[in-house]
Amino acid sequence: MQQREFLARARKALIKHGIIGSRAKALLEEWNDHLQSEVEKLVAGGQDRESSYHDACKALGEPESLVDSAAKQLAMESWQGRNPVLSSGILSVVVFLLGILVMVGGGFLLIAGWKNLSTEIMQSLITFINTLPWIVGLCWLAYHARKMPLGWKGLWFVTAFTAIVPGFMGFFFEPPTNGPGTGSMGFFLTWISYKPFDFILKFIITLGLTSFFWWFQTRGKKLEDEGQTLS
Amino acid sequence: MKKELFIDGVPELLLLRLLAQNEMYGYELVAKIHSISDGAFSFGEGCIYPILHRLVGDRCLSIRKETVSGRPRRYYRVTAKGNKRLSQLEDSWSKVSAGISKFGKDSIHATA
Repeated sequence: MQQREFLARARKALIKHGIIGSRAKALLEEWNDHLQSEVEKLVAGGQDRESSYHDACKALGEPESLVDSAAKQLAMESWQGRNPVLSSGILSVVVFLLGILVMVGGGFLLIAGWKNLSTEIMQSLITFINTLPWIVGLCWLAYHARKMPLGWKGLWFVTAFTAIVPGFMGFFFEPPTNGPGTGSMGFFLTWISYKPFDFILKFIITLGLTSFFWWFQTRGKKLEDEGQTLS
Repeated sequence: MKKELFIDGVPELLLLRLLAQNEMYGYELVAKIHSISDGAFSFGEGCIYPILHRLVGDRCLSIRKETVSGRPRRYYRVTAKGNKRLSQLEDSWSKVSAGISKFGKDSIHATA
């Protein structure tokens, strides 16, 4: 394996672990310098350049294992990484409360000014507000999932939770069809108004998205394991 | 102070101790740890560089970038905060080491 191939594989593995941007760049630069320094040492010792590159890459180990241990180290640096169960629990509660806060806050703003808006805009805004906790949950957890050993499975669990619970509450809106002053709007919190279709749709989307990312993150490792078993 | 001092703090302690003496770059540090410990400590390049970057983030190390043979190289040096952290780690390590030495063969036999 040559240096370029080594770094390309390391870069790919870093992306798979969610290590991107300046962090990934710094690590790649360090490993590149490490490789080159080792090559220079071997060449100074009388070895030819090509075999030196090969030996230097071999000494550094498989790029995927190198990235694995770097990712573990990076995960250990965060509170989430060191306390996966507790942080998943706390994050779930925070995401849920944040979602409810957005939903209630946005809804009350709409109640305050709904007479100035058209029925269509109002209906769209209410749908958006009722879906917001789920979107907030998904985005927040997507950002944090890479630091958590539970990874995308944790994301799936929490977003499924946020898809279920806010389904029991939200805002209803009845357009003023019988002229000005008619129609109503309010906040509901009831088991009866629960919309199974809405939940099932969100559940399927969440499951599909997170399963894809989970598969994407682990497929390299699985292929490697299979390769080792075969050989 | 963090609780992970017993084993997890060892690479950090060694890195800070080496960098308190001289400014060094990553490869140099890895090679030095390996040679001084006669190969007993081999933390791996996957583990050392994230620790160095975290220490820079915590302002325990300062960084100087230089281009060597066309590639960027980071030189690390201990800051005042890093020296404090080193003292804390050394204190904790001395306690751990003194505690372990009390479990030496002779001491256990003497107690028994």
